[in-house]
Amino acid sequence: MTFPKELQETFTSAEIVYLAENELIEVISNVSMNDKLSLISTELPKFRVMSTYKIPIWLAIILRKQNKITVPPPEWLNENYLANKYQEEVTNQTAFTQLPNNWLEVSKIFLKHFVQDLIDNEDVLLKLIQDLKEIRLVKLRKGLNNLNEINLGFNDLSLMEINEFRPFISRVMGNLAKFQKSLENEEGVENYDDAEDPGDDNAYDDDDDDDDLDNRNTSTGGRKDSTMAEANDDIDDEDMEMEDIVNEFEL
Amino acid sequence: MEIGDILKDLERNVNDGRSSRFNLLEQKQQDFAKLNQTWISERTAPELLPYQKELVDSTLVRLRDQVEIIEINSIELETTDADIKLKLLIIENEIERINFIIRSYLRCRLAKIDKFAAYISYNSQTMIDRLSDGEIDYMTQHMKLLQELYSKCFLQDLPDHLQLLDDTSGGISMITEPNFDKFVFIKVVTGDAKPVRFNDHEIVLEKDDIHTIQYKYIMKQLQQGDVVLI
Repeated sequence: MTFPKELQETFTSAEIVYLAENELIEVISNVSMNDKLSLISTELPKFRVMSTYKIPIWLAIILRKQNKITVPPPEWLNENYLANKYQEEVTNQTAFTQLPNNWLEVSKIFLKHFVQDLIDNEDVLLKLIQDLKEIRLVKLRKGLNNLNEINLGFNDLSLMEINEFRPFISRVMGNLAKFQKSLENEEGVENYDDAEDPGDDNAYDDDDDDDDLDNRNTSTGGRKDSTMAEANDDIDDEDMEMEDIVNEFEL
Repeated sequence: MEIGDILKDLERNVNDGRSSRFNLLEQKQQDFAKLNQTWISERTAPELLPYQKELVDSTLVRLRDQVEIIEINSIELETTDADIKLKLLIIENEIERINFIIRSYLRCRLAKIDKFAAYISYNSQTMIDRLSDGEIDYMTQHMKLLQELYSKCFLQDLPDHLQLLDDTSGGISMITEPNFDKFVFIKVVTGDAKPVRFNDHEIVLEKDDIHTIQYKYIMKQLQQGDVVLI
């Protein structure tokens, strides 16, 4: 096969890390280097001792290994900030807290390659990141109750988090859309038989007592309404079927 | 190298010389970001996207230049200092990274070409225009080989009317088409993306929003560059 099937559905986590490694990061040079180095995607500037430069993370990884630079952690990668965010995440049940783009990927890279430059204890940080990741995943999984055939918002999630759910979400939503389509077709035929206005797509909504409907309506309005975690409030006990599917979906 | 390539090379050198170093750096970063996005889009879109010839070609030229630098410098590696070694290490690393992405991009396209070969070739010129010359060759040759193989193995023993590989009659089409209903993940990158309207729904696209939506509804915004696939 030219391209394995598992790669056709989503990205591997290594590929997501690859993308994150292209992001720029601030580094402090320990040595001076006299000339620039011209590269394909960027260039490595002249280094003066103790100056700050912005370079891609992958480049920083190489230079850090050679002890040429120090990589100070970004302002969000410390105990205080992450503990606060965790609290926020616990108290606010309806939305994800705002974290930097790629926070999960970047913190992973940091704990792997720039451990020596961390200010806080790495074990504490690792635990906080893990906690944060888990509570967000729980929220995301609860939010899956809200899956519909139209549209969903995933604001404030990192690519790594989205990527894990990509095949599942797009498959389930795709199937829901198929159901919807066949429902509409059926309805269209019935309407036609009754000599009613066949163009009225809403006709079936009036007598549709499926509790799915509420979810659908709340999630089509606009930005705020379509946020996934919103579903936490109106998780319905009757909606067991979806819950089962969600639970089966092991992470 | 063909004449066209040499001319392009020359043009590139002249342009490089004229623009300031800062602009060149910016250009490089932009090209690289675009390459990454092209790769992501190709991987996530259900259909085959237009081939980014210029982008791939210019990246390949840059790759060749870097390989040359390695070759020149590694001849005298034993006498040189560690600084050069580090530089070569960095250059080599980057080459590997970019090779990876180009390879993955091209392979992903080949997989789609295999899958949609019939759809592409029977459709229209606009689909074929999305392929590079090499890809067109590949597609026609591959289809020819497959057809020969099938017909030698078993098709020739079947009745004539059952020998078709692209039969669309009888309700079920044998031509695999891209699934435009597929849900894709998109990110809004500009502030003035038009809202998506379909049936009775309207979805407002604000900058930095991430949505899942069916591919067919977002194609226009994708073309205009207001949103990108993620």
